[in-house]
Amino acid sequence: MHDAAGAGRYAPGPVMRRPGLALALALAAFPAVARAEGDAPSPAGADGAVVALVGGEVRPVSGPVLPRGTVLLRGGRIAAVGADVAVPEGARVIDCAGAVVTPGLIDADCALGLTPWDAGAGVPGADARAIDAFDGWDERLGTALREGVTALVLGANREQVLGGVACVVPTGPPGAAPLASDAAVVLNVSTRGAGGGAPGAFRTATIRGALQAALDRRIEVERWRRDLAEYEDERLAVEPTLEERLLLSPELLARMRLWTPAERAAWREATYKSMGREKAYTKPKNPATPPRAPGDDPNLDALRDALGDGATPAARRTLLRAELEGDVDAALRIAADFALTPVVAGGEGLRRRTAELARAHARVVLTHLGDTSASTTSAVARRSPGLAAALAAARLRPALGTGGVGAARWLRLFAAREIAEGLPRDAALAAVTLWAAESAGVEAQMGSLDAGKRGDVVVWSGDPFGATSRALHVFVEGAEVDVAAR
Amino acid sequence: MTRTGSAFALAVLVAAPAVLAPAAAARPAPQALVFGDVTIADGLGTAPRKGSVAIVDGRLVLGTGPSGARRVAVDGAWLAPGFVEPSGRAGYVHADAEGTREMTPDVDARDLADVRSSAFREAAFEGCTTVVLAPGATNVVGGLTQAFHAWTPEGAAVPIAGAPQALQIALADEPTNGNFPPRSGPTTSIYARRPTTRMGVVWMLRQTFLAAKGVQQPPDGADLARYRDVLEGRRTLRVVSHAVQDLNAGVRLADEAGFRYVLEGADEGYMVREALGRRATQVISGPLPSVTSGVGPEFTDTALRNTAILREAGCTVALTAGAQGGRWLREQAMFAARYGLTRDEALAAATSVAADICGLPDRGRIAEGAAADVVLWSGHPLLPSSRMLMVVVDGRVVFDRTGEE
Amino acid sequence: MPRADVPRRAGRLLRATFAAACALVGGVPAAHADDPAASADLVLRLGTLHVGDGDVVNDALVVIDDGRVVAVQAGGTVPEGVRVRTFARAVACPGFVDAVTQYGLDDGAAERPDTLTPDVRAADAFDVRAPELRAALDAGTTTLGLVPAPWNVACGRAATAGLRTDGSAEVLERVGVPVFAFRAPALRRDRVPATAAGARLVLEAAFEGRAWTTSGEGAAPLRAEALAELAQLRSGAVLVHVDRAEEARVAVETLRARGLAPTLVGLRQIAGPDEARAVAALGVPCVVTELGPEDSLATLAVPAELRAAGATVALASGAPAQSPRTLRLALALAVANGLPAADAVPAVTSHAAAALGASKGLGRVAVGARADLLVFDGAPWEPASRLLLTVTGGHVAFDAARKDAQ
Repeated sequence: MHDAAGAGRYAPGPVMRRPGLALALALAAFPAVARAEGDAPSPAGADGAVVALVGGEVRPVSGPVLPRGTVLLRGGRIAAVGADVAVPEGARVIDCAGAVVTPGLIDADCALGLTPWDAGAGVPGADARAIDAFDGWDERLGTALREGVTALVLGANREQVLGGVACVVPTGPPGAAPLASDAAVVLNVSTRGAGGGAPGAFRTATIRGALQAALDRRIEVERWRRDLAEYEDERLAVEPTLEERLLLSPELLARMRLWTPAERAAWREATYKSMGREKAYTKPKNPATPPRAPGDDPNLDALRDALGDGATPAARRTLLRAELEGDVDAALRIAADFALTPVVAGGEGLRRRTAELARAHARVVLTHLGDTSASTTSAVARRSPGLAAALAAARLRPALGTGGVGAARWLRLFAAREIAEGLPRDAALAAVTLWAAESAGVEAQMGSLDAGKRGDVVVWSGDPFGATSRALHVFVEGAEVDVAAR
Repeated sequence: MTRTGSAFALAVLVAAPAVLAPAAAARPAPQALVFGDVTIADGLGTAPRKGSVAIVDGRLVLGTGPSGARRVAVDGAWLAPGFVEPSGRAGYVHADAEGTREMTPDVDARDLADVRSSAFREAAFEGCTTVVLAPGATNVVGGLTQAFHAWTPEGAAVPIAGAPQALQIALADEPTNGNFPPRSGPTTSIYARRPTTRMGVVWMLRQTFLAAKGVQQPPDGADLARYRDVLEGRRTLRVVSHAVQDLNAGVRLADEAGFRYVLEGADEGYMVREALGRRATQVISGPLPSVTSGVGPEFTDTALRNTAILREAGCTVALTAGAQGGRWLREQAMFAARYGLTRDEALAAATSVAADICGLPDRGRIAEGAAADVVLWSGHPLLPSSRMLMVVVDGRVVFDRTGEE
Repeated sequence: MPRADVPRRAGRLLRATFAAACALVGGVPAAHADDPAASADLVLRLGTLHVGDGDVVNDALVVIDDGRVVAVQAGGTVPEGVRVRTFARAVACPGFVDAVTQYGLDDGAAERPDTLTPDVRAADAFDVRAPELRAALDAGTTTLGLVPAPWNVACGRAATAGLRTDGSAEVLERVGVPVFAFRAPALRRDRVPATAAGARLVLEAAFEGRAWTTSGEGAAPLRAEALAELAQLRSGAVLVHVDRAEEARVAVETLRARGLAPTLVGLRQIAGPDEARAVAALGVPCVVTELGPEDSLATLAVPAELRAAGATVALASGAPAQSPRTLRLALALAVANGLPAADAVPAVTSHAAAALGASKGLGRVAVGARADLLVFDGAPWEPASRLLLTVTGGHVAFDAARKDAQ
């Protein structure tokens, strides 16, 4: 009501006298608030349409295949998946008999929507975020979508030692919001050629140096925060304002010691507001100078988020590119020394390090599948067949990444090639859906047909890995994409 | 065993029609069209008049035409011939000239063209129905021109059968660009060669034509047949020149060797108007730059009234948009109409006069029996406010917006 | 014993042929006593066999001896005691013929400075033990065309090589079809010629033994040997590198006028169905090269559009070095972009072999042909199909059963 009255003050006369209408206006002005109240429709499925995909072979990835199953999409999300799902009245029913229903595919490492410069030579720096270089209107995103690829992990820069920050983006609709802006910090232990770029030892030394600097800076920042809190407390103790004298209980003061200055300021602001005061009184200045803040260094701050504290691994993932065995060894040593949460993206080197990767709880991405060059100096060109099969057999849950731009749209054909080389079909599907989502930490949102996940669903005319198959229907957040358009 | 054998035989039978299927589809007969009650700007320089024009079997018939034809009637519409670009220099598949030699009389512009290039399509969609593609002027002798229907419903420019091909030479400094005199020591560049100056260009041409005339010993291995064609009047010669010294050199060379020529470019033609006019020279004038820029004789002293001055001096003047492509020919005609020509004279310069110079006497005009290259406009074709409603190339509609009126 | 390769040529056959075919199937006399299978190196029973030219034989018996196919038949029996490898549910096809490659050749595979190098032979630069040949064999390629790169208007002579089981190669044809180029980089501003129009003039002159040169100081002179070689060339199949429709037209007109039968190679810049129809109307076979996942949809659709316009289409991995695994991927990409599945096997077998002028002995499972055979657990054009058996030159190069047993 407080907000409504505020809005009414600036509204024309008749409205002012009708607080109910004013409230409605205020809510309309804040659609986010209004949406939170209701059925939580997403922008794409905003009309609240319900879609029932009925009678197809449903491959949920997270569970057994349903020969004749139903997938229900509502409000942009998957509402239900099963053999006996009741189709609600008024739902749009799509007969999927003879078709195959899968989650939308996810390319676990690609550069679609990035310029070659940003994905390649680029600017060195851990704070170069892929999302800032992403062109959400790139028309090739639409062609990928029509081949059933609904999300991409943009593995940021692939050549610089500090590759920046990877993100997860949807392939449509054009200009859609990212799914995860800061999915992983990227460290390129090896480049695509594995022989090109800086030599390995130099690369690892650079990475270690940067991580150590980030660690030092974290210690420095923590010390500064502590000092600042002490300084604030001392200041409060010396000259509390009248209100503070009235308000602060000893318990509260003790708790405030743990607060950051921002939290403290917010609390103070709220307190004054509750007292009906316009703003805080200015306090007499403390003669003692506050501790000096460490200078800005976004580069190190970006890395800092990827560092664990020894006891618990970091929340932010670290994507380590490592093609050959030596690169994988170096990547895992770095991950252990700095308590990173490692995702190792590579190729031939992963095959002989499956035990070590499993021990390090590393996620694995088999990448650069779209590289067709035959350069004899390229480690990618010298990979031997059956890589994904070997990684899956070692229970590493490998995700597949094309590493390409246009190649991202043919993700299913690259997965098919791994099938031909021994990867079981169910594993191949998981490798381009659930395992890919897991590699980027977005498995709670997507990657399988489970109630509550994003409504990214593809209906295929046949085997999703068949060259003669095509996507009949593609849903992004529950809204159908026109697959006929080219 | 018998079962598989039969299935195999069946497969053979099913395959047979599939092999025969892609037989060439016959080209549909051109549609009979009537433009009823339009204002006709005939492209011959006469004043516009009201009337009806029909298209029957790809030819124009004045009057209301046969019954049963498709009738196009838009209030206040104007019918004009499609523009004829006499010297198109856009839409090449590779380089605009075979630049590895200075004299390439055998190069055919047909082989330089990318017939599906957007340059052709854009020309047609701006009302230019005929484009005579010329080799680039970077060679002393560039080769043969080729006339095209600018666009067809099949999605390509099509060579006009039987259209004469002119031989193009350049009396300018373009052929010297990139060439340099051999320095001491070995070089790997093929551009260490003549000509390196304007004088060198004239020298080479004089040698060649005098040799073709039999006055002088021909250079080793030179094929002089095409030059003899020119000297004996069997083939038109086009001379690309811009600056006054080159224009004068052209006049001298023609008098010495005894050939007639079509002058192209002629930016400073107003300076030698008497010499050109006395010889009743045919001129393809332009393109007039919207903004003069650059250095050297090619880029200074361009007189906006050049076209009108040459015409008054006794030349026959057509217009070209040159390397800008046929889509800008209408703009060139508007320039000419602003600086000295009447609107209908300017239209003629971009249609019938251009067609005559290119040896296409049945194009670029609305006349009984002329080729059906016409454009329907909402007003006079050279008024900026006029919209294009329909384009007919060689009797077939390639652009039609009459339904939207 | 019925012979499956008997009723193949289809053009004039209608109802009457049906009866005739039935009569043939039922009426061929039984095999005589010295059945070729009795002493054969390898006898295969295959659920489905794509012969290579588009025909399919079910329940096929293939007999291989001394490196050649000696019998192909639908159904039929073999004498007692003969060991038959049976793949009842599998799909077989000829070994892939990669018609345009540079595997085992030096970088570029071209003598770059000269305009005309018709006397250069790709076979002379061929390393028969190059590592990529092993990779090509692993990917199902059993025969390679070694084609000089498009750096010269007359590039030289292609060669044909067959792969051996150990991953090395044997040259099958040392002086193969002549190769020409009507595209960049053979056409380039700083060399002779710069345009397709110029290439036409250079070749027309050379065919008459004349040198069409620039007067520039630095131009390499046209060698007399080169001109002599071209002056002798009056008939036969040739390959010509082109990328665009207009290049194709000028090339075909030029070479046809000389009495040569060109096959177009490259064709990566055919823009849309209109241009595809124009190229198909030239009436020459087409080899589309270097299809890869990074190609635009327009390029990926070229094989389908050319086929739809009536052209014969083959696929090849192409002149610049592409991974040997790319041919199968290119096939899958072509099919995924509209090439009918029925045209997929010929595109990498018989049509490809025809481009190399070797239509009889390669790219088909037919009596007398080199015994190159692949057995898959699914359709050969499907990237997910697993290779079960590779036979090259009559010998087993790969056997999944043996590998699984290890």
